[in-house]
Amino acid sequence: MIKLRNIDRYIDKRLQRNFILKGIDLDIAEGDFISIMGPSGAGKSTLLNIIGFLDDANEGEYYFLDEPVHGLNEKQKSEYHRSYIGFVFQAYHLIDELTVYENIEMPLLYRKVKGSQRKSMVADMLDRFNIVAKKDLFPNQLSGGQQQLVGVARALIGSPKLILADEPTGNLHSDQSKEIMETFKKLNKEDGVTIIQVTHSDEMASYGDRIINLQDGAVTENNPYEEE
Amino acid sequence: MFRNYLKITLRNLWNNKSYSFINIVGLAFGLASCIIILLYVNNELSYDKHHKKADRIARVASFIDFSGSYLELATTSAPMGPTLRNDYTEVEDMVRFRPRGEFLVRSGDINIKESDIIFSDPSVFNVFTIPVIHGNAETALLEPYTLALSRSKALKYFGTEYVVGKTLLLDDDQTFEITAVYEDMPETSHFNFEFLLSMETNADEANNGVWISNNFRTYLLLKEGTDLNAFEENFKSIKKTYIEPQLIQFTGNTLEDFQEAGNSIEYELQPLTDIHLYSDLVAEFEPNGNIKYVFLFSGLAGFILILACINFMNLSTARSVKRAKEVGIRKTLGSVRKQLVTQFFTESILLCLFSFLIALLIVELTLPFFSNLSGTNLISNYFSNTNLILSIAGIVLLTGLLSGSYPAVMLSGFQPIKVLKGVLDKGTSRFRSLLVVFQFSVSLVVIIGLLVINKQLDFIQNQSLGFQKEQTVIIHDAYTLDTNLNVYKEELLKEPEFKNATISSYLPVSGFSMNDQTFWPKGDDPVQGNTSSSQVWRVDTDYIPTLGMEIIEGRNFSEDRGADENTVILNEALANRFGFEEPLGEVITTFTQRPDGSFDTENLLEFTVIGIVKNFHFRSLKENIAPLGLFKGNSRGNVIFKIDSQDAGTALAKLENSWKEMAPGQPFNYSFLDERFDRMYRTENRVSNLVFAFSVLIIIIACLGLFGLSAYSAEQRTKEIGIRKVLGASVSGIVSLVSKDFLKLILISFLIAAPVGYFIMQQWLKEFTYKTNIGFDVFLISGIGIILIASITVSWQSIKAALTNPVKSLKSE
Repeated sequence: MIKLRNIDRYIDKRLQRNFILKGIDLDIAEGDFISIMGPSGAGKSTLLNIIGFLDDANEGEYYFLDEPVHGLNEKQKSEYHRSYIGFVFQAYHLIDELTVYENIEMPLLYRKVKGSQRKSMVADMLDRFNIVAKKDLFPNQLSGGQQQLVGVARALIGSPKLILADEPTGNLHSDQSKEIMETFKKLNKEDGVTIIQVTHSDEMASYGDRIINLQDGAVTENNPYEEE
Repeated sequence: MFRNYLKITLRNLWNNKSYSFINIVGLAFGLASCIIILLYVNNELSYDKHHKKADRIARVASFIDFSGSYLELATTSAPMGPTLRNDYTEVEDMVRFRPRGEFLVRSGDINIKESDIIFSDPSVFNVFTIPVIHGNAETALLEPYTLALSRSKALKYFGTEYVVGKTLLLDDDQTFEITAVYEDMPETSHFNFEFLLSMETNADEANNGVWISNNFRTYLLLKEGTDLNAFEENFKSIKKTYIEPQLIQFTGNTLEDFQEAGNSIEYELQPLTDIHLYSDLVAEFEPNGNIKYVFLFSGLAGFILILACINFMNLSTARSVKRAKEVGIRKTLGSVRKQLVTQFFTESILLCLFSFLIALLIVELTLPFFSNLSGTNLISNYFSNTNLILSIAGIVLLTGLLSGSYPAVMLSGFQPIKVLKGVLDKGTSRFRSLLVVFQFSVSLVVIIGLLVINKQLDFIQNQSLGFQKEQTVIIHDAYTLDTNLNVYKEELLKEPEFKNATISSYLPVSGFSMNDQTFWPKGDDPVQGNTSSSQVWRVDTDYIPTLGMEIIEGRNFSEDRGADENTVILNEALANRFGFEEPLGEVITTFTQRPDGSFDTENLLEFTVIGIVKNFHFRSLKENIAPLGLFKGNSRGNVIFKIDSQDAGTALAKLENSWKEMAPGQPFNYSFLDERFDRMYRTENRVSNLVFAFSVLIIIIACLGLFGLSAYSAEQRTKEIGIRKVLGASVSGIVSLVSKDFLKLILISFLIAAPVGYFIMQQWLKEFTYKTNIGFDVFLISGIGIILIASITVSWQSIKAALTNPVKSLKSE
C-alpha cells in the first residue's frame, strides 16, 4: 500500500544541511498496524506527515496504492484526504465552534454525502463509540479521552483505508489510552484498516503488529520484537 | 456545507463578543456614513433632472468686463431671450424670469411677506415641467396682472386649491387674478417659486430693448439635436447686430473701441442640469451646491468605509491563530483552498449584511441630524432611484469582499502541519502595522483639515471688517412705515436701549441692495479714460457712525438738509483706483440713469469728494474689497439700530411695539447684522460641521480598530507579561512595553499625514482672498490630540494586562 524509497527530508541552514529524515525505505502493506517509535526529534512526526501528504519529501519516491505521490497536486491530495486517509492528533484538533455531532459530520460534507445518508452515518458512529448522549456538546465540555474518541470517530467516518495517528494517547491517562488502542486494534482486525501511529509508550506500541524505530532520521530497527 | 459555514460564523461571533462587536459596529458606522453621503450625493446630482426637457434647456449667462470691474452674471438683458427665439432656428422656446424682491401678499386678513415670487414669461410651463393642476397652462400668464401659484400657497391663502379666478392683493395696491395653480416645485430644483407673476405686468422693462443692462434670467429651450457649443459660438453675432448700435448710442464707441480699451462682453450657455453643481455666478436664485463638496464627501465616504474594512481585516488576521487551527483541520479532512476562500468570504459578507441592517437603523436615526447639518432635506427613499439601490447593494457587497479578501487569501494559504503545530508567520503583524498607519494617517489628514477650516472661519469672523456687526439689528421693509419712517427712528432713539440709528437699503452683507455704476474723474473720457465701476450706496448722515465705519480723511455728510447733495465719500479702493493724490475736493462724474434703467449720456452727474472711508468688506471674504462710493440720499429699505444694552429682548419688544403702532397691519421683520454676516459663510460652516461629524466617526472607527488590536496583542503576550511580572517588572514598565509599539505607528502616521494635510488645505485656502495661515499650532494640536486618543485606547488594554495576576496568566497551559 505504501512504498517509500530513499526518502530525504532536510532543512537548509546557511552552509549546513540538517537532515530530519535520511534515506528512509519503508514498505507497508494493507492491513498493517504499525507503531513508529523513537526519541524526540527523531523525525517520527515528519515521517507520518509525509505519509499523510501533509509534508513533502525533498528527495526520494513515495507510492501510495502504487500511485506516485510526489507528482500529485494540491487538489488531488485533498481528494486522497477525503477518501483514503484519516488523521488522529495528539491535541485532538476538534473545531471548537462545532458540536460533537457536527465535528464528526464534517468530513462527509467535504465528500458531498447526501443529508439523510450523513445522518445515519453519524448516528452509527455515535453508537459505535458510545457517545450518543454527548452529541450536542462542544469539545470543551468533554474530557480529553472523550475528545479523542470524537477525533477517532471523525477520522473513521469517511471509512478511510489508512489511519494516521500522531501520539493519539499522548495527552490521555492510561485507562483512556487503552480504550483508544482497543478501538484501533478492533478496527485493524475487523475492518482491515491500515493504522500507523507514532508513540513514545512501549505499552501502546505493543498494540501494533510491527514497530519501526527511528533514530536521527533513519530507521534503526524494523520490527525489533519480531524475534521474541 | 453553507449551513456549516453559517454555524461556524455565528458561533465564532457569539464566542468572541467583543471582537464581533468592534467588527460589526465599526462596519455599521462605516456603512451608515456611506449611505448618508450617498443620499446626499444622490440628492445633489438629481437637481433639475425632473424637467422632461432638461437636456435641451440652457441658461444664458453674461460675463461682462467693463472699466475694471468683472461680473459673471446669471442674468442677461431683456431682449436677449426674445431675439434669440426670433432669429435662430435652434431655439424652440425661451422663458425669462425677473425678480422684483419680496412682496406682501394679501387675501382677506392674511397679509404675508413672500419672497419666492417672480415675474415670468407665459412659456414657463412649456419650457419647464411644472404640472398645472388647475387652469390652462398655455394661457395662464398671458395677461397683465395675472399670476399662477403653487398648490401649498393656494391652500395657505384660501384653504383650497380651487382658486382660479380669485384675486390676491400685492403690496396692498396691485390686484392680481389667479389663472393657474401648479404642483409645488420639488426641492431639487435650482429655483423654487411659489408665485409666478405675468411678465406682461412688467412690460415696460421686459420690452425696453436695452441690451446693456442685465436683469433677466433667460432660459432657452433648444431644438432636439442642437449642439450647445456650436450654437453658443453661432449666436455671438448678436453682439455686432444688436449691442454695438446701443454702445455707440450710449458711449460713442464701437465694439472694437470698447474691446480695445480692455472691456468685453461674452455670453455662455449653461446646461440646466449643470447649474446647481457648477454655477456660482452673481444673482443665482439661491446658493448653489458645489461639485467640489460632492467629491469631498464621496471621498470621505470611501475613506470611512476603507477604514472600517481595515478594522475587519486587522481583527480577523489578528485572530488568525485561532482560525488557523480550523483551517488546518479542514485541510486534513480534505478541504481544498477554494472551499476555504469561499468560507471566509461567506463569513465576511454575512457580517457585512448584519452591519448593513444596523447601518440602516443608524441612518434612520441620524438622518434628521445630517439633514440639518448639510442644509438639505435628506430622505431615505432608497427605492425612488434604481441607481441608488444598485450603489448601496454594490457598496455592501464590495465591503464584504474587501474586508474578507485578506483573511480569505491569507488564512486559506496556511500549511496544515505548521498551523496545527502552532507555528505562524510573523509577516502578518507587519501588514497589520501598515494598515494601522494608513488608518491613522487618514484620520490625521481629516483632523488637520477640520482644524484649518475652523481656523479660517474663526479668522473670517474676527477679521477687521471695517464695520461693527455686533449689537446691530436691522428692521426690514422700513418703507412700509411710509411717512412715519423718520418718526419711528427718532422716537426709538429716545429710548435708552438704542445708541444710533440709520435708514438705508444698503448693508455690507449679502442679501441687500447692490447698485453698480461707472465713474470717471471729471474731464476724462468715459470709455478710454480712467474709468472705474463702483457701488453706489445711498445713505444718510447716521450711516457711518451707526455701522462703526471709520473716516480716515475728510468728513462725514453734514446734518443740514439739502447740504452735500452732490458729494461723495469714497472708500480707499475707489480712491486708489482713480489714483487721486489729494482726493478731497476732486470731482467724479457719471451718466444719469433713466427710470427704465437705461443711461442718459447727455446729462452727466458730478460729485465732489468730501471724505474717504476706511475699506470695509461688503462681500464675501473670498473676494477683494471693490470700489464703493457713499452718496447722501434716500433709500428706505431698512432702519438699522445700534443697541446699547445687554438686553436685546427688551430692545426688540420696543421696536416691535412702536412698529405696530406706526405701521398697523404690516409684518414686522428683523434680523441681526452678525447673523446675516455668518449666513454668507453658511456653506463653509456646513462643510465644517459635516467634516466634524465625519471626522469624529473616522476617529472612532480607527480607535475601535486600535482597541481591538491592542487587546489582541495584550492577550497574546499574557504569558510574557506574566513572566516579566514574576521577574519583577513594574506595572508602568509593562504598560509602556505594550503601548510603545502602537505609539510608534501613530508617530509614523503623523509624519505621513502632516505634509499631505498641509498640501490639501493649502489648496482649499486658495479660494479665499483673506486667509489665515496653516500654522504650527494646527499640527501641534492634531498630533497631540491623536497621540492622546490613541494612548488612552491602547493603555486601556495594556493596563488591564499589566494588572493581571501573573499566577492566573501562567497557570493556564
